[in-house]
Amino acid sequence: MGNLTSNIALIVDLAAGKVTQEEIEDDFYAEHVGGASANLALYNKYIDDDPVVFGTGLLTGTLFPGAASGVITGKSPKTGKVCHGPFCLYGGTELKYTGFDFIVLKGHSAGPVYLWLHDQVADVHDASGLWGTDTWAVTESLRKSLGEDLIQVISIGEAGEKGLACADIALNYWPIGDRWGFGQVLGKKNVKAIALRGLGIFDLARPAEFVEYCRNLHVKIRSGAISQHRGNIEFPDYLGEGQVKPWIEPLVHRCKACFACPYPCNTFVKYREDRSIMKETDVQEPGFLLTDAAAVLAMKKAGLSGEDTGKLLELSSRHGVNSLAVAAHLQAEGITTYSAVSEGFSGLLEGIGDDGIFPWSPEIPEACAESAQQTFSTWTPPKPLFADFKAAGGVEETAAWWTRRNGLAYVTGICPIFMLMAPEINEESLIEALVHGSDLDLTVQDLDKAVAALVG
Amino acid sequence: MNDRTRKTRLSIYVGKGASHSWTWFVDLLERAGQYDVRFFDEHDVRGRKLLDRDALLVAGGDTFDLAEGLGEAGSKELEHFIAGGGYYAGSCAGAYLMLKSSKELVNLFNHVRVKIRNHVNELPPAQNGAAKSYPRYRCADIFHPVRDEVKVTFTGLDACQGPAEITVPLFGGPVMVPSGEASTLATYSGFTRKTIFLVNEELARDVVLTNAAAIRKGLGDGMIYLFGPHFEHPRYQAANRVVTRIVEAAARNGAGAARLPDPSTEPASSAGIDKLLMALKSEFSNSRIVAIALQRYRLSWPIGLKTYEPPKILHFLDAVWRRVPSLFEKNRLQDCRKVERILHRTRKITGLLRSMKLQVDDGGDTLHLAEELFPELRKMAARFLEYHFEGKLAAQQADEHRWRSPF
Repeated sequence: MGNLTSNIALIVDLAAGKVTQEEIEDDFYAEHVGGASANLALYNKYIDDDPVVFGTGLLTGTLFPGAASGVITGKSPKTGKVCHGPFCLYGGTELKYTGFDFIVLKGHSAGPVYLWLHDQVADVHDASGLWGTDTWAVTESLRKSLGEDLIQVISIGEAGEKGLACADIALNYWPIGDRWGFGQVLGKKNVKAIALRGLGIFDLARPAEFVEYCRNLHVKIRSGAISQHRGNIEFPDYLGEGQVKPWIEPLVHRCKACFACPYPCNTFVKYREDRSIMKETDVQEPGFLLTDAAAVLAMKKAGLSGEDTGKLLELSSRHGVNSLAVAAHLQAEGITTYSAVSEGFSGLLEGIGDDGIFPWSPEIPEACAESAQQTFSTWTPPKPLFADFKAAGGVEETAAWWTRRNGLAYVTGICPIFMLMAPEINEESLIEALVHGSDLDLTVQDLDKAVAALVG
Repeated sequence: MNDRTRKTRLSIYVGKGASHSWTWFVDLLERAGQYDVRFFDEHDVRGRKLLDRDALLVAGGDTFDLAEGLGEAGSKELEHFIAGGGYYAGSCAGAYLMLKSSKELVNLFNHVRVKIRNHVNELPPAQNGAAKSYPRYRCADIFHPVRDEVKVTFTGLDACQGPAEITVPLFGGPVMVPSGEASTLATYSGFTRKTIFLVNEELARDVVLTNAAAIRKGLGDGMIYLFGPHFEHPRYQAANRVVTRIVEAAARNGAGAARLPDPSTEPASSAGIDKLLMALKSEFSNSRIVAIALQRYRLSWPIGLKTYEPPKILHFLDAVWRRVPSLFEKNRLQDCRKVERILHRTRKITGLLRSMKLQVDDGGDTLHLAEELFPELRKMAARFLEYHFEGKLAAQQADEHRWRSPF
């Protein structure tokens, strides 16, 4: 075990139902740093086996601000290109703590399976009994049968099982930054779910320095640009999309941060219970955690009410279908209510196309979308959030800035959304943390190289 | 372990009445390089298995259950073993068992006729947690004046050389009245900031201080060592050294020709044993994950005369888990049958824990599951640790053989 890493990649041969553990040398991290760049190297190594790679950055799961992100890398059925999608909340962290830095799923399983990763053990189990259940039921079922409510469950719903291009991956009950149809990829591999629980630890080269450095950075960021804001429902308003917050706010119950993040981005809305009720009641599913500001905006633009938006996002997540694609479908069909589609939603799935809305207005640089379509997820808004990054305001400059910020986030394991609101995090601060945390002699040039591997 | 360290054929009691503290002896022995360790339950003791051992270590638990489990036959076996040159070292309940008592069953074991000072006719008023002050013993006249850390001072016997005064944890063990019946090795000499007074402090001082914390008594060719506090507790290494010295002194003639793993065991294929060991690791992890989940609930189970809580589940599982890496070391043991038996038992434990978690979530009663679980945990941990020690012993003996061979 190295510092900040387990030095282990799990290779899952789905056709054979076998797992092997591949030792990752320090040289690999020196060359690729980690995260999406390392994922890409593993993807290329196993390219003949049609792989999809789940990975973590060196900082994922540490106290570094925003260090919550894992990254999925694979060939997108939507673009035909290798793309990367982040997953945050506690998913990236839990993957790291299982004792695997990376999971490579290669080949295709003959029947439905789920993976149970825990304490550097990987078990492949039959998932016939889970096939046909929605993402919420899978999460519940695995947590119950494995005996721990903190298990993080990456899963697909009906859309993924049917191999639809609009299929998303869910983390527990909620959507992640999958804009690439990775739900379809897992569905075709017959992988219903990956359950993660890690009780492991990893070492730090200079723990006292690392913790002190992260603590100071947290303090600085908390008192900075984000201090006056809460929740991702502020993003559209801040970016000039107008009035999303007042529209959805009557339903807002609380805001919740991902692991180690100073900004409580995820916003829980209640629509089956009074939002002012703080204690847990008998209402089993009182609402939905908004993890995707673009999806909320898209639903609003499609003409739905706040309450119907919450309900439809829940329905989409249960079925593992991309909510931007659902919004596009509703808009095209002129549907503006949840009740018009809630009955027989399964039947609608095949009619939902693979193109989601790019919900941000045209004046927001389309170059970002262009760039995103090559590599990164548009889950990340296209402009700085709340903070002044001193980036020039032109379209190309903003696109380059956006790509650079995403690249750094995807490589190191920082949430890419948080990267847009914390100018305190830059190449130097990342390197300083990496140097305190690891024995690797990393430099800004190494970061440049890793990011360049992703975006050319 | 250096050449001067004496190797002792040891046994640890893990049968009826034993709680979880016997794993502290395990940690101590492993640190001391004493790997010839067997784990005996009441059937083993009664079945004369002590005869090829030099010492028996009995830690905390429920004295009455210990006595009931071992019974008259067990008491006679202990006497026979000690008189024949064996050493008995008991702490807490393991000490009470051998002390003078008029109570039924326990009076079968009056091998050391030393009085218990915290035995009174009338119980004093309790403070700071009556439950710990008056455990639900069948004899309601034992009380615990203090709990947690106390100071003890050695009285200068050779076996206990070291600092004059050390701290040790006291979790309900006896305060013994010095007498000519036994030699006093250490007396209670003070309290620390961590001492919790369960009765009035003045009374506690009167009952505890200057009385014996550790004694020894010869019986035939053997020796009985009794400790009120847990000298074997892993956080008290000065106290551990006392136990280590006693363990080393217990080695008898013939020691060193220690038991090797059964040579009749068929070696397993490397792939076969690897698969089994990985399955075992997976199952330990499965159990541990649920055990940690259960720690978030306020649960307690009155079993016998003791109260068990979720951290005690984890105590056993952690004792096993931190030794899992040794399973995968080079030159490890490759006994598939033993691993399969441990795996089978661990699967049962995982099943019980998962059922318990479901029941707790549904608001159901889990006592019946806990009653089944704890004996299983004890047995599984004992079997695993025995396997672990067999491997360590084999490696140690191979090393020694290599060093002694000229070529």
